[in-house]
Amino acid sequence: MANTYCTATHTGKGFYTHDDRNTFYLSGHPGDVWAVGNTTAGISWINRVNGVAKVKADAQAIVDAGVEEAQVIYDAESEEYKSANPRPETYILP
Amino acid sequence: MATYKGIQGYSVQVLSSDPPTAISVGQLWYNSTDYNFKITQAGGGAWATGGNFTRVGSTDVRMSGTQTATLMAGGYAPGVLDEALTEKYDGTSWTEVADLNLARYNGFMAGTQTASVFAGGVSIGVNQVKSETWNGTSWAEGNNMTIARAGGGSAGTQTSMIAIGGHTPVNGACYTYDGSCWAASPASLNTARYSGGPAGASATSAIYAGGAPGYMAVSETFNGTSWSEGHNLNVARYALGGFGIATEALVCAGYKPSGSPRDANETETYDGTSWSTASVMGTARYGVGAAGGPGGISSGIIGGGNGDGGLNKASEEWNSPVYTIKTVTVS
Repeated sequence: MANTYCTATHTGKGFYTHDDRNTFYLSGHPGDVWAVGNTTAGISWINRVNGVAKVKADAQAIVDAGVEEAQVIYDAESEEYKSANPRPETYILP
Repeated sequence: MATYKGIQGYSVQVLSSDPPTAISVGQLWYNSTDYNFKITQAGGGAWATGGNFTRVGSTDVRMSGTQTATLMAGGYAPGVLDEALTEKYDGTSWTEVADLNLARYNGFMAGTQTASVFAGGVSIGVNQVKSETWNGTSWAEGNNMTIARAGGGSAGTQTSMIAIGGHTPVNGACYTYDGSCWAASPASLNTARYSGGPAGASATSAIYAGGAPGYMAVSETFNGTSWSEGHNLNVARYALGGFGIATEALVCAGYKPSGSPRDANETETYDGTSWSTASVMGTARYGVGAAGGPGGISSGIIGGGNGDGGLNKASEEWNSPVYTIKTVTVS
């Protein structure tokens, strides 16, 4: 089943529960973007966490901006850091 | 026709509140408060959010303890660089406590929230020999490691700990700590590497899976005498987190040679023979800290790490099985 997308602030404990994870698809991405299984339970979770719904293109743009921001921070880092940590890469949302 | 009483030996109980889930799996009862028939089910293992660190996002932190009594120390964050921060977790929230004496990341850590060791690691770009012990309140200098080492895995307790592999150079040598002194372990990894996923209960019982250089899937177990190669991981990667014991372990996160993203959210569990895929993490990342205690993989916690979105300060809690109470409906 296709995913739906939102932005939501990760508030820590209880943001998503074990039961949520066993009930619907959920994955977190840069820019506080969440890909959520497009089911009744998934939509209920978006409402529960006060998520702001996004179409995939807009969600992808937020993720890309988050990755680019991380790339700027990475590029300013030491060679030691770069040798141990790969440069952030853009990718396509699931 | 079979009846509930015929199968269970007693009638459906009427309870004013739901019973504890761990002792009611498969049971049916009537809740007289909310007027519902209910059952408890045991589902597969899964990750849920834990508390967010008090610090900014950080990679290559180390953890010890259990899911509800965790200790986290060290790490690295751009702008902050090597970190001395120590935080403890009570199952709900993280609290900053006394700093390490030497700020560093990618060290070796084992023990509990009240009795841990932190050794080696990288500080200002240099591998360290220093070892510190935690008594629940503060870190004190201990006897140094016999060699400067970083980036390997660690397992055990404050009085029976093993440091596994590491760099620089890439190494398979292991070292043990008895609560007082460090010594060379009787055996080295068969495949020298760093940034693998460790688990184990003591200096004589451990497992180490995946790692670098490159993207490794190899898994080895230690019986106190020698390391034996076992079943490979399903997903080759490095910078994994791991917890559990040598015969019941979990690894997660890491960085993969391919995929989109290459940050891993995959979880794999080990049953003493082979690795199996399990429920994925909520957020893909690498370089996490991990702890689970001596109870296998029924519960554990990971946190921090790096990823395509930069550094992470979120933690995730693993439980297996996941108990849920379901209301019985007629449809």
